[in-house]
Amino acid sequence: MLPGIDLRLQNVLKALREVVLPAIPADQRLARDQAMLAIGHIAIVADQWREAARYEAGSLRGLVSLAKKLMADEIIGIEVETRQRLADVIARASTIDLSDLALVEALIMELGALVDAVILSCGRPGPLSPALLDAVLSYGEGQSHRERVWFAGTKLDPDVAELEAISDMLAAD
Amino acid sequence: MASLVSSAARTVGSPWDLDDMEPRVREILDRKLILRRQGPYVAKSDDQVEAILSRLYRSQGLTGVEITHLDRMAGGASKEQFAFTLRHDGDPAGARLVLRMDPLESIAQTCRGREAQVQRAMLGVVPVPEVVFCDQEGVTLGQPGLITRFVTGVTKPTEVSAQGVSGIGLRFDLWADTLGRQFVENLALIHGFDWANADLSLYVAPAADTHQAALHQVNWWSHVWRHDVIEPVPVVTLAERWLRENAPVTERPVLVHADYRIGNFMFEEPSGRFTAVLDWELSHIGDHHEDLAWSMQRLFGTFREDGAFLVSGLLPRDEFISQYEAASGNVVDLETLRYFEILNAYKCAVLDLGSGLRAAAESNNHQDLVLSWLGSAGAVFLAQIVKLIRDAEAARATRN
Repeated sequence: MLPGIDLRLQNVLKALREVVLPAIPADQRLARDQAMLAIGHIAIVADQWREAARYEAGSLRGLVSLAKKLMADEIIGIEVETRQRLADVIARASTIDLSDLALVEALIMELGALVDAVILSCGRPGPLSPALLDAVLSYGEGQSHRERVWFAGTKLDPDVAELEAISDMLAAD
Repeated sequence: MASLVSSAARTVGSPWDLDDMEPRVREILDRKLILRRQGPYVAKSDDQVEAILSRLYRSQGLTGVEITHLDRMAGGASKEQFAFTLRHDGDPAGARLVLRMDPLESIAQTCRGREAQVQRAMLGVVPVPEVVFCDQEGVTLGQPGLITRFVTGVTKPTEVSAQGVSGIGLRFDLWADTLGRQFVENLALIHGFDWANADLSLYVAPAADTHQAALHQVNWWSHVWRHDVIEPVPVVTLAERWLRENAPVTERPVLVHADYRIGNFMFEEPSGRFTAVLDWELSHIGDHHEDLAWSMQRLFGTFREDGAFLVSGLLPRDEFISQYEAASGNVVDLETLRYFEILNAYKCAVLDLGSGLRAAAESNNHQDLVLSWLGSAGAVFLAQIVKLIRDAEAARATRN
């Protein structure tokens, strides 16, 4: 691909930083704020785009792992139909091309909706089972950490200094 | 004063009665689905705002209307805000005012009528900008909005330059004592306000001695999540269930500001005197722990050199609680406080990963770019939810 994606993103950044932003009058706060945020967004996208499919494949693997735990024997009360649909999506997840970002994202949506249904309904009117609670919290711990690393570039995370590089996080996936 | 378990608690509906929420809040949230179809929304130009204001004041019978010094105000991830000067034949000297107007969708969809009511009620109780006009349905302005008097002051000391979005991540250093004391005192005044005898007709209070104060909030934010969700997030769903099953009893509901934190108060320099408590749009009648827990959020605070966490960049957590108890007479129950920390983290996750991203995806906000930027902080709140629920469950296991 010529010109490559990295080159074009760097060109956009240079134009925004060196031409567009300085040309915006100081009293045009909305325009200045938006230009600076545009620079921030593009700089982060430039760091992420090569790994986006790999990142989302890891997200799907984590969700599949949670779904399998929800189907384990100690978690009772999942409706038969939901269990069957979970099994179906889990099976498909093992056969798809994980480099196909759109396909992976679609499967995350489908599986996520089923997991949500289980979390909200399983065992009711009784309380959340400890096994279900622990399974979702463990998943949440891992996935929220991955997302914090993925978006560390915004520096909105108050504990950004303790996060590893994206490449290290993906290597440990 | 609240406790996590109370056998004396009266039952008001089931924790799974999803419709048990304030009618006006429900109306605003459901109206958003209609507004959503009217997009995309484009930020108002200065000329458009000037035309809107001129039309408004002419419709009020003013003559010789002049709108000058129109300035878009900083921040405003939720509402479009403009400072302007109004002159007319009856007031040639002019008045400096602030217009706060709804885009089609925002990170927090709220009611300008409620906001006007509470600010009018709080006038003279704590410093607030005086409301001079409210168009809660957008009949005159074309979209809901309110106009207040301009308040002088700053949200951060002028010598401090480093800060994040909405003043987050700021430390007040030499200002901390003066501002911290007023921060606590004003919160105590808000919680001590006699809301039952105020004109808050757009508000509905939860019943005392029930779980309703907490459940109203869970229903509000889970309703928002269901309308706005972009991608399922298991921790958000888990939090909803946990919050329903563990709702505390609120014995005596108080007026809750609901966004009481750094960035939402103004003060004068060099005196440090508070000139305004801002952003009342999320206010409601609820549990006093909710405001405390909100102020204490990790994202709104900073750490001192000795490692102490400073609530909203002002004072250590323990001092904040003890000073608040002394000023308000309210007891702070640490288990209930943790419940509301979880509720607030859940609410922030819904705002960041739900409403904000949905508004941006629909192109219905004046700052879509800000909303998708803020969305990247959603995982910070998810991590908080996980940690806090684990802590709550561990505490429960120890008690048992």
